[in-house]
Amino acid sequence: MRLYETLFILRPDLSDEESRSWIQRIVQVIEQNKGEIVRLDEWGVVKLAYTIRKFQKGNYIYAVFMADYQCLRELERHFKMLEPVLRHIIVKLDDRELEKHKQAQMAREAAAKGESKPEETQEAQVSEGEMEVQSTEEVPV
Amino acid sequence: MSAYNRRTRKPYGRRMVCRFCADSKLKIDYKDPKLLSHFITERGKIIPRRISGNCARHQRQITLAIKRARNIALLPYSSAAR
Repeated sequence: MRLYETLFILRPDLSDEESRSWIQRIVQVIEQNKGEIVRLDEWGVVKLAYTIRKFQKGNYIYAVFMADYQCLRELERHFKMLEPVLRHIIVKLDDRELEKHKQAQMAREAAAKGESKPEETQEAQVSEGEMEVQSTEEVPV
Repeated sequence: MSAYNRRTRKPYGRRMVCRFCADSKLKIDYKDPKLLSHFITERGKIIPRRISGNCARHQRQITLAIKRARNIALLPYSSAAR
């Protein structure tokens, strides 16, 4: 298991519900292949630097996850297959950045729900081992 | 080449320090088009090291980041001249 990040672009003309279900589908692909989502960020609809399939804008989704090679292959296959994904990139991260992203995710969730989670934060800080595969929390989309 | 450098650099005292060596907090990241846009021309070309003043190591990282950013449409491959 290694830490990876992915940034992919969904077509901008989907409804919120549709794009959410597509994101969910990507998340499922990772989870079904023994991967684990660490962080999920929606950047929202951003102007593209150049047109892709006649779209001027794209819905950027950023995710950090733990996965092995098998999972990556499967993810790559899905990215290529799924029609609403305009572009995608998967980059390997330094495993030591895991904690940083976990905390970023937690901060985001806390901000979204308007409640802090002191327990979870402590837990994350204790587990400083880089290859820690402890599942802290599922990611609500 | 070296004659050219000596001629252009000396009179102006061009800053020779790499921005990323000077400030270790600056992270080179393909997801940061604002930062990367300092290192491309208006047409979208990557600015060479001898002009941007980057050190070799950071120029390599910048180059990779720009190419990644282009791939996912955060930076243009080329844009029309103004």
